Amino acid sequence: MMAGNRISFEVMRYTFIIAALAIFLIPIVWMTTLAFKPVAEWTTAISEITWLPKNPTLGNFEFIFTGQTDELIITMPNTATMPIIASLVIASLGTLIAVVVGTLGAYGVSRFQVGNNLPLSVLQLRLFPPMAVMIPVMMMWSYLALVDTFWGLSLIYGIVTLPFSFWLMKTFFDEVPREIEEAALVEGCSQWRVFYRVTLPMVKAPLATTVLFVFILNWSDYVIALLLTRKDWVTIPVYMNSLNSAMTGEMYGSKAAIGLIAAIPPVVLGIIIQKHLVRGLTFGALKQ
Amino acid sequence: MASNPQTLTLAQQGAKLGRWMTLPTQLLLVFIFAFPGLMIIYVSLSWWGPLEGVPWYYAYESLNWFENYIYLFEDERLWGSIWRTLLIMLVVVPVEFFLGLGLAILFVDNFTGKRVFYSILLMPMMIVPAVAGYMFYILFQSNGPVNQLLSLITGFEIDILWLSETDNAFVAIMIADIWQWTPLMFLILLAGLLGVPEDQLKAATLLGANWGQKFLRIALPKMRIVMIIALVIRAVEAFKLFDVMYVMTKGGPGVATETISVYVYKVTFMELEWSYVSAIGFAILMFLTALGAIGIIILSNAQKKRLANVVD
Amino acid sequence: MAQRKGKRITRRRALKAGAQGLALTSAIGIAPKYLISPARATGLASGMTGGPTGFDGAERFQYNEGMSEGRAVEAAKKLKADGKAGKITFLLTQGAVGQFEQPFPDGAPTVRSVWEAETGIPVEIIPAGEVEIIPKVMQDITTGSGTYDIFTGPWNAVGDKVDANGIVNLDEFVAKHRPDWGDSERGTPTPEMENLLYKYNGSYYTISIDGDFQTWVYRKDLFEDSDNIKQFEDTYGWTLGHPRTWKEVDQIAEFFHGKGVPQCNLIGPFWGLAIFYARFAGQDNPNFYYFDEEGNPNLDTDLGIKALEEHVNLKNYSARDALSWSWAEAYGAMGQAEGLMMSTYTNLRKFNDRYNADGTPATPATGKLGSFLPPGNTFGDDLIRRSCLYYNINAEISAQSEHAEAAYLFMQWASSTRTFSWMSGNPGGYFDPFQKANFAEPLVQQTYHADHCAIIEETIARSAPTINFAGQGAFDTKLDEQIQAALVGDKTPAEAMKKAAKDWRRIIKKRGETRMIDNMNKSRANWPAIIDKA
Repeated sequence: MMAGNRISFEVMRYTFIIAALAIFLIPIVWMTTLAFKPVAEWTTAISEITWLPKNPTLGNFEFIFTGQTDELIITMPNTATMPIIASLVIASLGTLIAVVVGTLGAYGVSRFQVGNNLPLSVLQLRLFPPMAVMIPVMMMWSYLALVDTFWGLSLIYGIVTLPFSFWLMKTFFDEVPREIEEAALVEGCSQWRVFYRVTLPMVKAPLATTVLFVFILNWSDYVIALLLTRKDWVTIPVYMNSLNSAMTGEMYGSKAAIGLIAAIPPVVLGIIIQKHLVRGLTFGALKQ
Repeated sequence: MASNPQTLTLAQQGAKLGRWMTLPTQLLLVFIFAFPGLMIIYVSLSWWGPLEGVPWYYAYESLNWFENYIYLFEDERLWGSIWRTLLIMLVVVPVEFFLGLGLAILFVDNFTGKRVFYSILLMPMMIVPAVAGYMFYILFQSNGPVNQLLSLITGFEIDILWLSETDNAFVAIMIADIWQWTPLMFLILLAGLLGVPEDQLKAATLLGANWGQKFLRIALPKMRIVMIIALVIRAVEAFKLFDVMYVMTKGGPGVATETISVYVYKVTFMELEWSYVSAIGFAILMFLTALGAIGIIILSNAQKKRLANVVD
Repeated sequence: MAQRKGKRITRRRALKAGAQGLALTSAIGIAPKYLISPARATGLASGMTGGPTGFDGAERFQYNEGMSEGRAVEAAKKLKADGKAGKITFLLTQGAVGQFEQPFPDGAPTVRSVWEAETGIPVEIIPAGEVEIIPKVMQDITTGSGTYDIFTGPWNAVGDKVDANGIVNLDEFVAKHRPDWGDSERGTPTPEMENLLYKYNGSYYTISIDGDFQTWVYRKDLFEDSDNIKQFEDTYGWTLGHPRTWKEVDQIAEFFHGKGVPQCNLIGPFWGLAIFYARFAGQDNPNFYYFDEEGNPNLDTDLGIKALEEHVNLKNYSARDALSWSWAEAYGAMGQAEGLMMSTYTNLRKFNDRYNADGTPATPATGKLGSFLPPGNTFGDDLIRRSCLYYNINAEISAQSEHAEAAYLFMQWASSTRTFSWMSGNPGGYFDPFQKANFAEPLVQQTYHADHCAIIEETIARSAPTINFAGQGAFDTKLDEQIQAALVGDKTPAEAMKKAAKDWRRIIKKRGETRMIDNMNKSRANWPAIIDKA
């Protein structure tokens, strides 16, 4: 009886997961194959669409990294190299700012009954459609000479994603039982040491989730980067959007190629973080 | 304050540390709210925009007091776009939540292939949204892969006009959003589920509780806060939906899929009505702040209740 | 450099495409000696002081101090010597960069390098995508950061930039350096066009480096098929050929739509406006203006509503996804020989009707495309054919530029008829020819096809402006939305036009009625005067 249930549960589990994966993968598979398709196979607005590349080519990658390829009669002066570096630097730094500031702030609010204004103010920051505040931010960044610098963009990313790290971390800190911390305090640890050595390791899994999510948000932002960069620190999404040409209109193949490359850092981060998520299993046990 | 640190009580020490810990957050908030906030309010009371040909601080020259705010009420496109945004939110957030929760439950215990499945499941949210938008645009052409796959599965000739017909375009955008953000729900909810004490579950099993009871009685109450947070995060982000759908439909056909962000984008960069944008922005902020305040009250009540339960 | 080789338009390829071109070239009266010019040694032709060298026919793009380019170079050298010129920062639309940076033809230098070599003034090109360019320009103007010396962007936005005090009035420079933009032999096809393309409100503000006059391209092979001709005649009672009126366009579209070949006209947001404006302008004799003399929008008049009704009807014969299509899809469908016809930018044939470097057809449509004059409406014996100028990349000098005159001189040099002829033949970008000298230029004819060039020139003479007053973005967006609402059936054409007119009135009021009416009435002088015989 129990065994039968177990098997039917396993069957259901695999069916459901595999169905979900199949659907989830369609756009990703399309992007991957598109990245290797020549111009004539890009569009699906014709009667014979191409599923797998008929004439696979590396031309799309060649184009974004060298600005030219045999198949296209056009050239492009800016390549993807700098945008990739810019995105890596800016998204990482922005994530660092958001997570460090947010985690500290969340712990402070969660434990010490200070900063009672913060939960709402921080939330306000994120409730806003960024578009509606970008004009004053643009002016301010311009006055502070922050436009088109990596620190300027990192700073705004740190600020706009702060609400996530703050709120996620606050939620998880609230969940951590005080008994363990109190025990440590009784043993003579300082408050800071308790936070750093006792509490923080317990919220590793949520922290990892937060890092991943904040990084992805920073990594994929388009609107802010569009307005706060000019040429030196253009990020991947802005670069990707500028990939269009007189010859082909939107350059779907090249966009897919940069999209494929752009998926690598978050995926790598996701894999690193996965380890911590498994470890997070012990989190519950600690609570009791 | 006490002169000698050694005489500080634990609570006092804590408050001091707490102030230091929250200081960076406070500073960043002041930094980002002060100037833009004042500028938005000031500019929204005038006609100022780039076409006035003067810097923004001369906005007083075209002061109109509340004309922009009055126009908010007769601007049918604004209300239309807010309504559409809410509708999208009301559909995609619950769908993502239940899909994410279902998947998270399946991933709680170990099974063969878990790590691989897990990594693949997270992939949609790792695709830059604008790129995803282009992919969906391609997939949803009437002769495109989606229709061809549907035809293959159902055996009927399916050629839905996904992007050129009002209702269909709406559905297409929702599908794209669900695709991209279900993984996030999954991720957060899984983290929450993993936080449910294992020994409690084991104890329940020994007492003969079946899977459903375990979930409803033990896991669900423990997860309430995480669930609320997951819903709030997605709702907030869904409210700002922009990249994917702007690429897919540009708000079209007509204004059928125009969300608040797309509308604001158009007013900002196509119509260049910056004072009106400021009025919209300020009004939205006020409205959402009210909503947020209510939400926070609900949340802290839930937390209190939960703490009370723990004490029991 | 070696790796660039495959990309250039080789002489060999050009000759393959040239046989037909040669005949047509002679037919429209271009001295054929250009085409068979002897291989020249590098160096300037006698009497010339500057210009590109190193390829066959380079002398056609060379100049001396008596010509517009030469005057610009000499003046720039002088500024440089006086220390009044520094690096020029040039914000350029992404799709055109190749025309400044890519050598054309074989052995040629790049456009930018010729300028830099002759004047010693460096030019830094900063590319930006088309959708980003207005945000970038407005960011620069309103924050006063002065990052760029030269802006480029749609012609339609010139009024916005003037009102924003973002660009320099060029009257003084034009008077001083005398560009050949309006030259009766080599410049714009009609005098109205010079006013239209370079002036705003009576003053020079902007420099055209593009020719976005919406031109019709069709599938010649389908039109010339004898079965189609016969069937068509049986059904409609006239011989299938170039349509003269919108009604004939619809009949042809209906006929081929029945055979599974759709029209490819873009009718979605933004793109669809161009064809609507063209149709609107031809609703009356000699023109149907967007506003009456008191500044009231003509949108919700009977003729305006009729224009939208006809426009909505277009959807019946268009590709199924046409409402969501962009350039890529329409060009793709025409290029795959799956579309019938479309009114669009002139480079459709440049990109789709061409041969690869190895002589093979580049697309299934190669050799199958033709062009015809814009259709119109008949009024008694008169036929009013109208197209329109829409988008069109123009360049302006930033009001914050420290070297405005040098920046202007660079643009005068690049936009004058010799340099621009050289540049517009280059397939590496999308700046299209629009000057008389461009159309007569063999390199342009090779890229654009001689028959197409002749049609473009005639289309330009029949082109109405679209809206370029301050507030243009708002005008276009508001109208566009209503057109889309009518296309998807949310509103009737009458309702849509009524709402659009209401929105337009609000914009006019906001921007100042007196000033707007003055702008509108001044722009009337730029409308085409040509009336064809019915």
